[in-house]
Amino acid sequence: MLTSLILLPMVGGVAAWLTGRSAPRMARVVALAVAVAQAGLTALALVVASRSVSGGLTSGLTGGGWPLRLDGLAGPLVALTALLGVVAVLASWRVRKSPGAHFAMLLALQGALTAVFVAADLVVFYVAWEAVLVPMFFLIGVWGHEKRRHAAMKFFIYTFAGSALMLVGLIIVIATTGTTSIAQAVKTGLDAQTGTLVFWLLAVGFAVKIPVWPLHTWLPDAHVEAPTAGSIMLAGVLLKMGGYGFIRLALPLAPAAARAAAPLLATLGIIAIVYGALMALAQSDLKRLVAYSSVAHMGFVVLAISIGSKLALTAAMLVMVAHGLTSALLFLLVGLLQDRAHTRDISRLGGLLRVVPGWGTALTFGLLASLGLPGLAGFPGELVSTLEGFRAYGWWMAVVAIGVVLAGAYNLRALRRVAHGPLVEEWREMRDLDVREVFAIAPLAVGILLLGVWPALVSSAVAPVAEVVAKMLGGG
Amino acid sequence: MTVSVVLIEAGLVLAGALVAMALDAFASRRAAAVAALGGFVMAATAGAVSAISPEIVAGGVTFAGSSLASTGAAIALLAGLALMGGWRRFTAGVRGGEASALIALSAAGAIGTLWARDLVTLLVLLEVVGLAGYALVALAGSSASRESAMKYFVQGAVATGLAVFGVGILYAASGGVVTYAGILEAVRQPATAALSRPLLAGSALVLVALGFKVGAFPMHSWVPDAYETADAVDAAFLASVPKLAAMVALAVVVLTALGRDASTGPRILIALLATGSIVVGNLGALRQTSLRRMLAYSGIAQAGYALVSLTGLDRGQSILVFAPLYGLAALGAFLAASAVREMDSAWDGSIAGLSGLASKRPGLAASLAVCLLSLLGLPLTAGFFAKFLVFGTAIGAGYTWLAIVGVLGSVVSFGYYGRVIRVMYLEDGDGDTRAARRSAGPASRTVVTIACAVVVLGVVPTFEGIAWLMTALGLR
Repeated sequence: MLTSLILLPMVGGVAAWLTGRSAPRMARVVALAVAVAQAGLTALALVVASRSVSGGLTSGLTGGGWPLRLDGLAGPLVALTALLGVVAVLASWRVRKSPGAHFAMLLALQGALTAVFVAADLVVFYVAWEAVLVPMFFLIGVWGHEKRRHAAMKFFIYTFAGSALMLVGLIIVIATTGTTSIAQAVKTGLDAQTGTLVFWLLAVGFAVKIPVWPLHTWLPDAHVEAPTAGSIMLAGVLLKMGGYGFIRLALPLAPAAARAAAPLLATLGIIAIVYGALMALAQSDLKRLVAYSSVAHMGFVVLAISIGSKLALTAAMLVMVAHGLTSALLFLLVGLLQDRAHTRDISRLGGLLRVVPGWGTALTFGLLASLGLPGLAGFPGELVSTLEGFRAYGWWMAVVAIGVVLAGAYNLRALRRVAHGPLVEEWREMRDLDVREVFAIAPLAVGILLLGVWPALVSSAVAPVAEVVAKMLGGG
Repeated sequence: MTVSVVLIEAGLVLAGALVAMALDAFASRRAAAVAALGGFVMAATAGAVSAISPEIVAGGVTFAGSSLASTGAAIALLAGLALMGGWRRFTAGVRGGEASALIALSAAGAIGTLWARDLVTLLVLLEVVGLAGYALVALAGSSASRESAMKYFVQGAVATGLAVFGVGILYAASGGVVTYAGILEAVRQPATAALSRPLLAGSALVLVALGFKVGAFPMHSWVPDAYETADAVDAAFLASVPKLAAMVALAVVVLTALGRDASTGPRILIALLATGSIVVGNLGALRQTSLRRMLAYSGIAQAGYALVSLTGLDRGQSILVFAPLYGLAALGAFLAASAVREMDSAWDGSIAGLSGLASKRPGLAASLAVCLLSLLGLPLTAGFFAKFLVFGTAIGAGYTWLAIVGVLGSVVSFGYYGRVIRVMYLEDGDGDTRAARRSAGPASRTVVTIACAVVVLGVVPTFEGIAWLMTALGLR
């Protein structure tokens, strides 16, 4: 079953590509069918996994024959991948440049991402991790905006540099423990010196992906130049690989080194929260603003991971899923705006709520979710991270509070300039959302609302795994 | 009586070479090429048979296979692929018959080096490979190729001189033996402490001379000139087969004579040569504008990776995987240069001239991209497992820093491999070359075949375990 979760999008991608060669317009239908089927299969797999006799999602559903495992930590992210897969296909419905290849890349990306999250073997994990790079490289480089080639190269080199060091770390783990199974390697453990080396090698790989300040410089370029579907997958899922990697590998494999690294990680996380917010505040390009807000939100993830308690790790996952939904929604909305106005310059926009009320309402919703409004997805995770941070680091959290205030500032500023204020004449004829676009937005909005009022949806699955990891770290 | 299969392979290829020479003189170029190809096919078949059943007794003679017999078969296979890729050049081009005979002669020498068990035999056989190489470079007939053949020859003569000097020292210091086993004995237990220094000096000289054959730092400067000015097909052969053979021969010498269980002296020297090759090769390749020159510099870096694996004591398994897989991908990449020329005779050999190749010739562009990604070592291509084993060996031997140098070199290498992919896929070529489009020639078809093999050898082990790859290469 897990095997088919990986193979379905891969095979579907080939099908979309072949369809696209003879009937370019049919490729998107095939892609949508595959993405919806994948979402259904994911839901089914999650239900089966949570009902399995041996401890439900905690112990996880294993793949027949292949070293795969779907547990409470992987589950929410696999679900996120499947959901955003559908949204990304809908978002790129009108792609003109070789649509077959485009959808093939999108589906291949989805398959590779799923494989990263369900891998139970270090080699499979690494292979999947790198397999993500190639489709993303082409999505940015072929279908992106003006400076796409530069952005694609930069994206690849940065993340490849991180993952190459990660590979050295993984090889050391395999060489020392004599196994490639993640569970076995964690059980065997590493001695203190090797552990420190491994932790830092892995941490660099994960930190580039998250991205942790100051390794984040690839992100604004890649996000801004990527096509809408690419940005959705990049911000929505790819960044989560880093946080997932920390919780899945780096912390359990080298708990002592992780504890020693906590102050540094926390500092970097706090810097990212404030720096990302400040940079977002300074942007005039709406897409760049959303990109920098990602740096800030992922800062909360780094902070929570550095704390390492059960609550904090659960909160890290909550933030990741919430940010996945919120950033996907915002990138989608910016993409829709770009299709219509051919600009993302905040200073040229204004009063759009009156012209395109549907789009304007969705933007309001997305920006409010991004600033962490209670009742929406962003709130529970970031609140718990900050509270746990307060317990662990005391008044340093005052700096985070500044970041939270800044988040309010940049989101509301964008909202006021774009949706409210005097209407710019140029945009009087702009058309509002059509049915396809509503269908792309709806699942994200529902997800954001659901996670806001019922965070246990994710946290109940994550908590048991988080508890195990937290115990290894020596906390509760 | 026991006969080594490696010797039989070398004999078959040599027979092919001699028949080809005669046929070239008295019959036709085509007949010569067929004869050479026949030798390769027979040798590869012999290797395949011995890989399936390692010991065959027939008429009182035992045919003993070994992992080196599989390497020999790989050499014959690659030489055969080079011959098929350049079929037009060998059957219709100027001096085509001589070229196919020289290729067969060089391959025979290359397989022979695997059979050698003493340094003198090894040097003589390497000289056979080298002489055929000098002649092949000069055969292109341009003044540039004559100059680089001269440069290659002079450096080769110096290297041979050093090697002879080194063997002489070892002969004197070890008490009159040149067999690997005898030298190992002497290196392990020098009769007196005073003798250990000459042994070290002799080893160093032999290592540097063998490094010349591999194209490693510091005797690497012939590589770019030779590979750029020789005929594209001959360069493809030179970059894969003799290099592969030299890598394996070097490994055999290091692991069975000079370095095994010995003082760390030779190993540190190897680590330094590896670092130098990786740095010089990767930085040199970054600056190149010509495809073949770039590939030549990247070959210097690849020689460095081959040396990295020699720091370990794993009986050379990792190099027996690395070298043939490197040879395969390098052959594909160099043949792609020939294939582009086949399609567009006005191509100037530059990387920039490949722009838009993906839309003109999707199959060829994809195959070249696959070969380059394999040289890069990306998962799902054969090169990944090659590099994985190489770095794993170094880490297992405690040379973690060398593995880190290696992976960082890989990251840099995306700068130039990625540039080719960027030019082919992300840039739109000029429209008018579409008119010059011709049907795919033998070089194109061979490149596509090689790319398919690279993918199969990269994908299957991911799911079947690396043991499968070892079996496929005859190491288990």
